[in-house]
Amino acid sequence: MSKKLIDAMADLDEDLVISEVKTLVSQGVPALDIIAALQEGMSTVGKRFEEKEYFLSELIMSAEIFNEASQLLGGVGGEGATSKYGTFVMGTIYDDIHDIGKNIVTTVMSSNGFHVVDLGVDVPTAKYIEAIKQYQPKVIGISCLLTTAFDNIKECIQSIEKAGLRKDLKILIGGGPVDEATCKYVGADHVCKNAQETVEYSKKYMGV
Amino acid sequence: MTPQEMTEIRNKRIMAALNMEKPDRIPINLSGQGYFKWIDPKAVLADMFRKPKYIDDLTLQAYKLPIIEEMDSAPMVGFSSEAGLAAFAACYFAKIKLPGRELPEDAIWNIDELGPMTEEDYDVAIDKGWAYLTAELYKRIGFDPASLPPPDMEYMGELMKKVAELGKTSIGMGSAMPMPSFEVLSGARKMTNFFKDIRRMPDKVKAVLEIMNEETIAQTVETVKKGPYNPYLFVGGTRAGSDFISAKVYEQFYHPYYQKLVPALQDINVKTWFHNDSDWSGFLPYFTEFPKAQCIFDPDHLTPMETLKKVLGDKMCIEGNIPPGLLAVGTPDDCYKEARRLIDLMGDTGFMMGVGCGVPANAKRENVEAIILATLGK
Repeated sequence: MSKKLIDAMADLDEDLVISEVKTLVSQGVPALDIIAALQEGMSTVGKRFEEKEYFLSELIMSAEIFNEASQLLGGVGGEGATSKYGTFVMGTIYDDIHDIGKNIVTTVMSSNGFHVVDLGVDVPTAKYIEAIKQYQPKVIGISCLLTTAFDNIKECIQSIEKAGLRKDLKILIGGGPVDEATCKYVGADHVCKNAQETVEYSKKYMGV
Repeated sequence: MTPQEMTEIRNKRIMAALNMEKPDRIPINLSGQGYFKWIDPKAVLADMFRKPKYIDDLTLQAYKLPIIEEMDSAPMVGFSSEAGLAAFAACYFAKIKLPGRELPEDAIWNIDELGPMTEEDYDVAIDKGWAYLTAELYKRIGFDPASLPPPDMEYMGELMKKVAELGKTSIGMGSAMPMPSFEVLSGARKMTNFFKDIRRMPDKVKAVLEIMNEETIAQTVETVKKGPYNPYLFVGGTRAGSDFISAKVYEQFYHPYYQKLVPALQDINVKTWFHNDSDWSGFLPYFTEFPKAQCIFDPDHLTPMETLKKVLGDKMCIEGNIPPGLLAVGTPDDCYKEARRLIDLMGDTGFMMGVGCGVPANAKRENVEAIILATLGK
């Protein structure tokens, strides 16, 4: 595994990450090995975040660098992608276009070994349902930064239930104004205050 | 009592809080954008832009409702225009998305960041100034300030008369909104690019921020001197916080703006109202350097009041901090208890009752009433 790539990812050295990925590809290193190195670098990012050496701004940067690098390899979240811990589906609820929190969570989940299906922002209920049917995740995440979209989360969760898809599925919510009262109101299973909590909750639920 | 007399009492009450003196009672600052729905439940947020005069009228009626009439803050009327919001979004070089147009009928407006500034533009700002680059960036996002329709002065005059009849405070946000340079530059570059710039070329970023600080503060002081006097100016902060950036980045790139702005405003007898979203707990000690009663701190609910009280409680007035989600999904009992908890914690000096960030558009009337009653001790 390329120590140079791991360190560059951990240090958020974008130029070095990109050039090293290109070098490794040209040397015929398998994409999965390169992804593994990027993920190891991201683990260090996560550790530095926990130790308060890094902050949310660094997580945002790491998410973008990781995605940029993995795009050179065809992406890590495509259909049929493999993962250690199963699939995590996430999007920002409809009528809300905030993406920063969602991007942080999806990248941190991806770098922690989950196959992530990122539905984007302003996601309608039908799209969540379609993704749950297609990918059969054990955990999904709904991001929301607007109190006016709380009813949309509630409707979405009720529709998932009506479609008979709630069994064994945990629904996590997160975002600035979201708290325990919101969780109770919309009928979600848990509020995640940050990306790391999403990782920990999901791993615990999946028995990892 | 006449409306004018009521306004004088409310102004005195608010000024006492801002000056860290004991008011006759804790001021109640609970103005919100969605109160019109309490009068016409069929009205939607898109109506704010489709028929703004009708929405203004409903909002004024809402302020006359029993209990609601006790709040001190003035109604949010006369600002619901696409042009006004487009100008606000342009502060961040962003586009506005409106309900009934890009968004569903009853969605809140959203800002869509465009990030038109390139890495090379740092040199343009250093050579030609921030105002020069701003004009260029506006062109790139298709925003032309000169093309904005002028306000309807006749209507605004009538509206202000109606507002005056409510007897609310006449103290408002002031004639300028000097956004921190860090926030503006971050919008110009787009957030991720900006954070990368800070790592890759810190000196250049600092140089541009210094230019922006000088230009923004000079322009703000000039605007305030020309405009009607208001005792404070509102300064928004959304892209920082001690969970968002390191103390090192804050010290070097963000705080210098506040260090220049606060004394510049103090010189013209204006206080600085910090409206700071996300958790600022770790950065609050920096605010202790400002003179007593010269600033106001208005958090969203993510900076805990306990921390604010401990670090800034004897330095500046604090406004807040009911969680906004509670007004939308909580019960009146939840809201009443939270308001009482805040009053017990903060006391009656240097504190104004408010909601973290602002009252959400889907706040329930009974929840707003519960907060008012708790503050009135009823």
